[in-house]
Amino acid sequence: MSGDEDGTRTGLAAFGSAAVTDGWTRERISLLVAIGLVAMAFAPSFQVYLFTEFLIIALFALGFNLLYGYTGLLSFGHGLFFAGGSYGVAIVLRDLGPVIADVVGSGIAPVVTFALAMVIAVMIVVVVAIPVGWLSVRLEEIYFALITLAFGMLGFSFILQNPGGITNGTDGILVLLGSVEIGGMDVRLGDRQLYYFLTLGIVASATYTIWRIVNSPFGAVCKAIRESPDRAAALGIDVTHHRWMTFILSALFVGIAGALMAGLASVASPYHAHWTNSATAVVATVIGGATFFAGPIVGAFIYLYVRWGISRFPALEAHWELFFGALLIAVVLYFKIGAVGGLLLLRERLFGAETSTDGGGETE
Amino acid sequence: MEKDQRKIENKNNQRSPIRASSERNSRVGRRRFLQSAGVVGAVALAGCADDDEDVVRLGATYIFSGFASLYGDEAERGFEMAEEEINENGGINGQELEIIQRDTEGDADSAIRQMNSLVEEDGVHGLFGLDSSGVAQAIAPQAEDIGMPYMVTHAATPFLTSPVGEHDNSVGNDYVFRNCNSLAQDMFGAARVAEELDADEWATIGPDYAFGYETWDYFRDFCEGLGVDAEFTEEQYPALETSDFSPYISAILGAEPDGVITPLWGADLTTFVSQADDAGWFDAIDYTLFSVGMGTDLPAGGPLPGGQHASTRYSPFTPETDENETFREAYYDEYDTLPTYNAEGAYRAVYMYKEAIESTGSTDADDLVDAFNGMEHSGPVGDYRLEERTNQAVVPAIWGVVSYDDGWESNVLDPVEVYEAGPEELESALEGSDLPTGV
Repeated sequence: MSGDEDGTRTGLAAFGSAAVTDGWTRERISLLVAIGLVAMAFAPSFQVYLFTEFLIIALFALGFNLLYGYTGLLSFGHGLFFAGGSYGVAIVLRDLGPVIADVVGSGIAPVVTFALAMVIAVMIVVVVAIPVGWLSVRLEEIYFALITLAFGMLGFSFILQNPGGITNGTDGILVLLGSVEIGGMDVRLGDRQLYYFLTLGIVASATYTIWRIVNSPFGAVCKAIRESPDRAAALGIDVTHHRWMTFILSALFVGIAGALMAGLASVASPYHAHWTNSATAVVATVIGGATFFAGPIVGAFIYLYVRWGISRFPALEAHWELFFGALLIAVVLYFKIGAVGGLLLLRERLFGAETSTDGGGETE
Repeated sequence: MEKDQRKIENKNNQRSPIRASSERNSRVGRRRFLQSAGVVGAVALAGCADDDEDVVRLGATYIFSGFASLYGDEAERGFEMAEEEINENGGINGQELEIIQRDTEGDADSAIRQMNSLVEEDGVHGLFGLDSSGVAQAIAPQAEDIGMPYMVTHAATPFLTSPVGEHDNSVGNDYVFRNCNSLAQDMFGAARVAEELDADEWATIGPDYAFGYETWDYFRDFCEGLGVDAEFTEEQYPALETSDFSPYISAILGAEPDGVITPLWGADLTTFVSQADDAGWFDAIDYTLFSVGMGTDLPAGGPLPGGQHASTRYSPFTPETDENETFREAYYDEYDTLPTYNAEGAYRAVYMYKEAIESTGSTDADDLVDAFNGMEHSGPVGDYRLEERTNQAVVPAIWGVVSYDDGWESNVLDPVEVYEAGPEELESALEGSDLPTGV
């Protein structure tokens, strides 16, 4: 939804231009979305939680899709970077929290610590992504998927081994954000609304950055490589190097998502590095449509809210995997270009408008 | 005048069913609305939990999918039976009991989301369940944060009931309780068994996560504390869902221990037992102690070999009380199998809530927490109390010899030994160790 602000701008570009005659300008739509996002903070508490989680998963999938949808490399190990983000935050909060409190005073320490933890977490992720990416991008297709899967599970095992007591093994690390005193008021950092706005701000800026990246010359090269690595190489592009850089960028955004998740769920769990978590990004992207910028966002929305919808009905919850699986099969069978593609096709049938294929929203 | 009054009464009588039905309609409507509203991003208007005064709601959180789903299935049988029994007998304080089950998927993120949803959307009055110790440790601070009692019925790590600050990993707080025996109590029993056996060298093969390591740590420290003459030689930790145990089996056989303690469970236990049997394990090793093995044995159709030692958190045959017999018979009638400890734990948790709500006359979370603290209760497992300091049930460790019972057509523990495992016993046995008793 946040992504809708930026993301569906492409997907719905045609819609926008067709609606302009009716007064539905891009600005107005953006304004409405922005109002909706702010209003979201005043929804029932659990909805704020769920929506925050959706924003995080959306960023996770968007970061992943930079590599998959835009560069043509299917990674099955992005959970590694997600865990890098969450563990980075958790470890800094646990081990450096008291040190930082001594330096800046206990009043604002939690904010400074969390900000610093985010930065350090993302730096850790980048440091890990550099060698992992360098080794992985030498391979393509299924081999690339397998080596990233291997790296992801290597990270998972590493966390379980609890080297030097740093990752706390299978139990994971608790993340306690603490509260800040501002003008005599006690403000909890982990407060649902506050954390929602924090997440919204970070995810929206990250989404905008990704949007700029995919529409830059850098992004154009990514797409060229996706379409034909040989032809891209013939044009003088260093394919391996470019893939490496995209890999690192992709990991960076996934790391931000992981760091936000640690604060939301209050735990850095080894499960974050497990391949099933990596698969979350893959599934969300495939549901939404990898070839659309907004695909991962819509996919993440469907992924999380369908799961939530099922849990609201005890009869469905008892066999939720069955219904969830049926949904996936339906999407794969009937929406070959994902939910966003399906929505655009639907709109075309209903309004007869041409599907826009410019910007990041090209179809194959 | 009288007529008018009657009219008003009639109106009131009529109004309540109408209101109830419109509430029901509006709830469905709201769900629908939420789903579509979510798509347009206007969920802000949606309502919160249904505050129906006439229902006591409890949230059951177990693993219902994937590799460990057998635990959730067993628990479901237990709490459904309790729910039926209670509702057939007038409910709780005349209110109907409703149990809402949710899948934790054995993962902390999902478990926390489900917990928040149960509390905020369904308005549950209390929570129970949890199979995974890792998930339980992540949940514990959150339960305190939202101020909701959590009766843990399966997750066994002692750190869950060790008050925060006692040990680096301790997460115990006022809101988290456990009604079954913990890993520490179980290992105390294992050490007592080892004391009796003619075995000097001990080894372990356990799952490669905290549960496996903690089992070995506690077993060794209890053996040392009890003065058991034992050497600890070999430890092997195969990953969960291992299909080939042969390298681990060879490593243990190579060390030639007299006894092995294994906390393997689920499908892993079944696979391990058949491969160990093929490798001549039970001829080479005198004693194999299957901690918690009975929780797997019953639903898996009895893989445990006769003559070996196994523990359980609840035995259908001890204590020999009417309460236990009634439960066992009713359960057997319903499901055609003996109850496992996971079923009994879930069953009993529901009754603990019933007792707490009836004794305080309130479903307020803080009243329930007060009622649970130091509560004395009796169930199929016997009479016990929740220890005030830790909120851990003071229940015994139960160890016995696996033997097949023709009457029940399943493995049972016979003979069975019950070891009192209260705070005093565990404290004195753990003296000199840095591990908390959690009791």
